[in-house]
Amino acid sequence: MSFISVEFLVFCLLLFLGYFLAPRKMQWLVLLFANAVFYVSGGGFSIAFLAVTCVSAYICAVRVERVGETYREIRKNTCHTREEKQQNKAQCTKIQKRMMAACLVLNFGIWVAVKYAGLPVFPLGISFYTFMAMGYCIDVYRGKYPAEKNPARFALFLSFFPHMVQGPFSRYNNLKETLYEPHDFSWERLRRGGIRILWGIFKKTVVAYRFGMAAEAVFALQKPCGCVYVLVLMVSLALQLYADFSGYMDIAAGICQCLGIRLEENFRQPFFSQSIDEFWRRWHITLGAWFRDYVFYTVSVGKRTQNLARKCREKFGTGFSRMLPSYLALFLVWTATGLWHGTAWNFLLWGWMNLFFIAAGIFLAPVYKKCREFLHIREESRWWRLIQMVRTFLLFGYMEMVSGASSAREALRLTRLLFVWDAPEAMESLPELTGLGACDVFVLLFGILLMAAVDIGKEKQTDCRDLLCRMPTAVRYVCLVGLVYMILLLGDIGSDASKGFMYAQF
Amino acid sequence: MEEVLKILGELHPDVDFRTEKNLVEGEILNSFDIISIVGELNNSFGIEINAEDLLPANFNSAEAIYGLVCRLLDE
Repeated sequence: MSFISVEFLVFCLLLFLGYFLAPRKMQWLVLLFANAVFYVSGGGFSIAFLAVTCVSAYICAVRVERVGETYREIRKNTCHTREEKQQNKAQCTKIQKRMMAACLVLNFGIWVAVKYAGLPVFPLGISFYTFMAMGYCIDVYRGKYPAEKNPARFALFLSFFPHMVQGPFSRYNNLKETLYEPHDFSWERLRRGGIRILWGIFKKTVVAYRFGMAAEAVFALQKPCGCVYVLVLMVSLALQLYADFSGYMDIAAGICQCLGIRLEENFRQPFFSQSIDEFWRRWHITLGAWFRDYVFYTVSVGKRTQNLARKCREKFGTGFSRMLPSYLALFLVWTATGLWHGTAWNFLLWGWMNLFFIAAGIFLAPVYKKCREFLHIREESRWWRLIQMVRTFLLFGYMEMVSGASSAREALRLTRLLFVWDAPEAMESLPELTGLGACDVFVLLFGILLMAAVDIGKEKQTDCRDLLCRMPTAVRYVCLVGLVYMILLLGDIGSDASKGFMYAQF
Repeated sequence: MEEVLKILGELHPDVDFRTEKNLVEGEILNSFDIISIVGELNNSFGIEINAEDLLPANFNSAEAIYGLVCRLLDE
């Protein structure tokens, strides 16, 4: 069931009715039933895959916790010396690690088989729920929070439909209270959630659609071209992905807000980032946090990595050995992030390019500082910050172009074209070759301005919905009706492209 | 405590670690800093800080870091 469809609209209306009419204690069961309906509509086989992950993660977490409690009890009552306590702890960790290994191998094994071994089926949301379930098991193993004892409640967390298609990677401890606690109906929440849903649909169907058209046309271009076309391609790809992905997040978060549930935010105005490192703390935040907590930290403080750093300290000095664990872990994180997106060479290259820019930013920070001082550039100056934002945006666009190219040769050709000056000819034939008419260009400019205004507002801690709600009723309704009209008249609704979201393929 | 302050001071000489209580949530320390601190603490105190110890609460101030070291030395 696509998020942009009449079926989904009916599904949401029925869910809202059922959720708020049900007895307060039963509301979470209504959600669980809705998740099952959403899943079955996406292909019945998906439920079987989800059930395996759900049951195995549930059992693993409960057992790991029970083993920990049993050994703690023994330690408290029978271990008196430090050696005895350490031995008891080592035994406990050994058993827990075995259970964790079995669960991780089973679930990541299924995920790898489905995603990379070319199985004919692709269960809905497998990349998202597998990572969420394994994150939950690791957190319980690390003692971050207790395991969920009610299997139905755990199934609700894992199968919650708003985070199933494109994330976010929700954490159990962040979602559990808001998901299970009862909620009263609120017009205010419905209004605010509704505005966010409309805004998300606008971004997806009006803005992302047109940038997608332009990007597709430039990718398919066979005639000789130069830097203007490649820049148009980079900008189109970056903005298409942002409008599509953050549009989905707005729809998902808006639905949750109507129900009174708080979904984790996945974006924090990413195009205000001044470096690629900062960009990844603002873009797809929950994926970055997953890799940071479960891969980066695990590898960088692991025994082997720390031993290696200790050995390097004697040979290469403190500076290098101090950073070595971070760089090693970063290499693994970005290789894994690239592979999470796909096994094709371009995804791997995309991951390593990100790694290169982040590592270079950290490694060369003292050099940059000296250069700024030499050139008398103030770090906090507006112009300097703007230049850095534009640079980061273009780097992101370039990496998207490389990952979207059909082959290595094509990526190389496009990179080479960046250095070919074609401005006079390109400006004349650009509208024709990108497939965008004057109206489309106007709509895109309007869309970009609106998106920029909303993001600038958020950056200054102002929610544009607050401003809208404070306006006179007539103005407010004109704005909202205008948004609906734009979606209906200018949006891509009903086509196959409008039904899918770019990140759903991962 | 002085050893912990020395390690932190070497990493960020411009920060007053005696008074600062919001090192992680205030984004004074990033992930790379924390990993560097972990390596230094492991070497200086002969302890083993694991991934499960990497919680903001354990690294938000010099006292919190010292508390973590003491706890691991006791175990």
